[in-house]
Amino acid sequence: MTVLLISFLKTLLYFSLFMIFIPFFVSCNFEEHTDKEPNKYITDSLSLKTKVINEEPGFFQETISEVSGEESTVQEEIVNLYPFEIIDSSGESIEFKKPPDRIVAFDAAALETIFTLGKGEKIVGTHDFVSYPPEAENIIRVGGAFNMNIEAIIGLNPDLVFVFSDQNVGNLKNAGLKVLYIKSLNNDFSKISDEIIMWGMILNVENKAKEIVLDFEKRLNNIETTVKNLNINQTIFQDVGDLWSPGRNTLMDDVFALLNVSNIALDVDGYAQISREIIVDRNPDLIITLDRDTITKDPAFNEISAVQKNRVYILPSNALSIGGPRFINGIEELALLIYPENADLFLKNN
Amino acid sequence: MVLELKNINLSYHDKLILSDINLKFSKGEIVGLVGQNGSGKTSIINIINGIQKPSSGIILYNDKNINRISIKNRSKFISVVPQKINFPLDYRVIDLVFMGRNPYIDFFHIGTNKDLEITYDVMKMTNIVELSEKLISDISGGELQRVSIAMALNQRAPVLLLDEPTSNLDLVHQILVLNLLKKLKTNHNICVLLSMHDLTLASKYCDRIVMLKNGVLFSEGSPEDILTHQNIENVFGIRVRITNDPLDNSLIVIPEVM
Amino acid sequence: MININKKIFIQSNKNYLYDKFKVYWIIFLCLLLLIISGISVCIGSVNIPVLDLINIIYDKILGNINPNSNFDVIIFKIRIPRVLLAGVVGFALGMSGSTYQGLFRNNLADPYLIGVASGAALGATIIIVSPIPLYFGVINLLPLGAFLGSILCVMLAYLISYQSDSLTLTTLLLAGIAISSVCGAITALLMLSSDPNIRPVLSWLFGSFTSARMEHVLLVLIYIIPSFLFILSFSKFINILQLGEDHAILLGVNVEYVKKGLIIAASLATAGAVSFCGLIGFVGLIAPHMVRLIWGTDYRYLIPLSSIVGAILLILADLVARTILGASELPVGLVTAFCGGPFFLFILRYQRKYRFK
Repeated sequence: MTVLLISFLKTLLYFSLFMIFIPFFVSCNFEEHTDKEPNKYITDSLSLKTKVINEEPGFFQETISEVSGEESTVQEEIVNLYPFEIIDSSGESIEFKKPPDRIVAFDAAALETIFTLGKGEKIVGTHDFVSYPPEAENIIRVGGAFNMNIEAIIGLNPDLVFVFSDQNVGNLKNAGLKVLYIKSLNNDFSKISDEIIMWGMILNVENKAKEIVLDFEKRLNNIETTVKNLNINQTIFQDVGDLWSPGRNTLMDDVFALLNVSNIALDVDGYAQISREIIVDRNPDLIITLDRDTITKDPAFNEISAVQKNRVYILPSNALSIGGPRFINGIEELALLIYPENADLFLKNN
Repeated sequence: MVLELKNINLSYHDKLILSDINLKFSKGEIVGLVGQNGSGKTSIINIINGIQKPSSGIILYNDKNINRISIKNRSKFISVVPQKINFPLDYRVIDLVFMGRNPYIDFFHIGTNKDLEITYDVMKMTNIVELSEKLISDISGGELQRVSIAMALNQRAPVLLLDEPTSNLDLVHQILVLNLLKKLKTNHNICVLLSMHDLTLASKYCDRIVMLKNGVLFSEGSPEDILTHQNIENVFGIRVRITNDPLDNSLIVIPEVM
Repeated sequence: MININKKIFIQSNKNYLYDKFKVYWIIFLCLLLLIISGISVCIGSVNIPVLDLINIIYDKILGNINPNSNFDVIIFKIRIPRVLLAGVVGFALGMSGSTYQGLFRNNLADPYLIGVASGAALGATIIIVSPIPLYFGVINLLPLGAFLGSILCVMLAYLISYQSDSLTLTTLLLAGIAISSVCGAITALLMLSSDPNIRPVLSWLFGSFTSARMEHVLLVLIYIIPSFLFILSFSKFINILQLGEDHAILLGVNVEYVKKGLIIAASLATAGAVSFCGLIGFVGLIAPHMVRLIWGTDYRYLIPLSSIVGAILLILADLVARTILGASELPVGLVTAFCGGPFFLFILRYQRKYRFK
């Protein structure tokens, strides 16, 4: 009896030792895949404007009319926004007293936005997978998308580091750097406008930012109306490799909705690998892929409408992969593929 | 049938294990290998059965170099009962004993009724017929030894080598095994070579004794000639008393207790 | 009296020569395999009513053109090749798993022991990650790369352990472990340095039958059928090999030929299977264990039985992988690992009771 008791106590001891480690695992949990929306409040201590950025599309059209009377068309702001605070995706409050001079933009979208705002020369470092614009070629690469070279970043002596994932935020802050973490967009591309405005404020070129956003939204609206008028219903399938496809709650799905094509991957959430049976059964009218051979050379796909009508396309650029100012280019490129006979309608509106 | 060892030398990592061994064996005799542990008894057995290659010297079986004989044919002429038996536990006795017929079964065949008959005879000889369906994990050490012998006998080879077959057996089983070997020699003309520790039993059962000391052939001949005070003291380092057993004219070797 | 006993002995032990019951079981399992394959073809993410299915197959046999061409495509170009490939790969894994267990005299051996898996993974990763296109004309380069990687690794392990005309099994095992480790590191490195491509690599590493085609089935069969026949004809020697290499030589088995032949045959079969579907674990380990628990360790029957059981297991696993999530799919390797782990633990616990009964 005592033997049993002793062995039971021993097992209990081992288990409790193990359980000590559990909190560490829990706290190290990466929040990559939660669907929580980041709340961003930009407050202005001069009480000139208090903007709350939410999910309403076209929000900025109202604010612009509100303040356009004060602005002039120079690059630099006359009205001084500084200092202001941005609450980033980790809930931290980041203060901006003046425009940063040395930015490590560890995010392709942020980099493109900064370049489009004309402040590309302020970027001193970025990650390996940036390929646009050509002017960014000489910027030092400080790591892949998921493995940052923190020492190299410190060595560049930046006064702002922008990241899209919280993986290394702690490490960077411990090194004394100013880190702005905005979680990368999973869906709802209307937030792209918000981020462009945000950079406009940070870099003191809010005007230019608003210009870009206005243009973005104008083109978006044009596409929306054109598409609505065309009233053609088609189905689409996008293969991002190995038959993985974007389902609900992805940026691409929102784009498809905008362009009035039905995504055949409608019953999956996020990205998932779609079975070939489903693809054959749902018979998409067009297919976007990275490698045409995987679709055209598959004997099971021979009879699919998209293959028969030779509507298997590769996207002409990676604009749709980057939630930056070029995103609208990507949408237009896709629109041309979806509505080839009505290309002129889309081109006309530019 | 003649099995000859000519000028056999064996060294391993610069250590000389056997030097200049010359032996001859013929049909219908029991030869006992005696010597201290490590004197080379197992090595000689391994050299004869082909597991160990000698550093120099040749082994001739009926005037043919044993290296030229294929593995399969070799197993038809020489059968071995090894010292250490590690049989897999989930086979039955009959499965294992039947493996002894392997040299006679062609590649694409599984065996014939004749093979089964021979297996039966062998199992009868070693008294294990009742055990045939039992699993190896369920039989005792002595029975295991007999299974091992049966497996070797199944090969029907004219030469039977046994490496310390009696070391782990109780007295009854020792006698049983030795009686069996004697029967094999007389009735079937088999040449039996075994290594032994018990000198009295060796004298009772062996026609010839080969005495090894430090890898060298110390002496060989009939038990009466070999088992002398001087030889035993020389090879084993102990003093003994030797008397005669009047019943069968064999020698009884009694170690002197200090 | 003695003669009668002998006759009884021979009659009752004819089983040893040719175990009727085990052969009946093999036939039964083959039928079971056919039935399960048939059922598998009927189920999938797209719901095809059974009547339609039968009509479609009937029409195909008669050569009629079927109006419902979507279902026709799904059944003949997707499901049937997929079920067949799963069956053939499961067969190969069960076969080489049981062969390795016999060869290395260790019940924990699996088909990937001497570097087959990591070599294939490395080959596949190189093709996926590098600018080499996936197709060269008609030839799909991905399985080719996997196969080459696999064979090169096994050959390396083989050459290292081949000393003075004999193959040392323990050295082979250790060399395999070392090579696996290096290949794994290089694969991980390649994956790290090419983030956008990680997803297809991970998918391949976990094994999947998503893109199974009839040509794949035929190619894998080319490796498996000769390997199987070869291994089967050597299976009685595997039994004798269980006594130990030395003892087997004493009983007339040419152990060197047997070792080399079995390693080459089993590795080729595994490499061929793995190249087309990625790494699927546990099947090669579990199938022989299950068979051993029920039918014992006679390798002449263990090997064919393990192969068939492996095929059945993998077809079932693939069925789960492609139906459990609805429209999307899980990699098969995930299903085998997820179910295989606890199942294996269960077998281990049960095995202890069996052993000491």
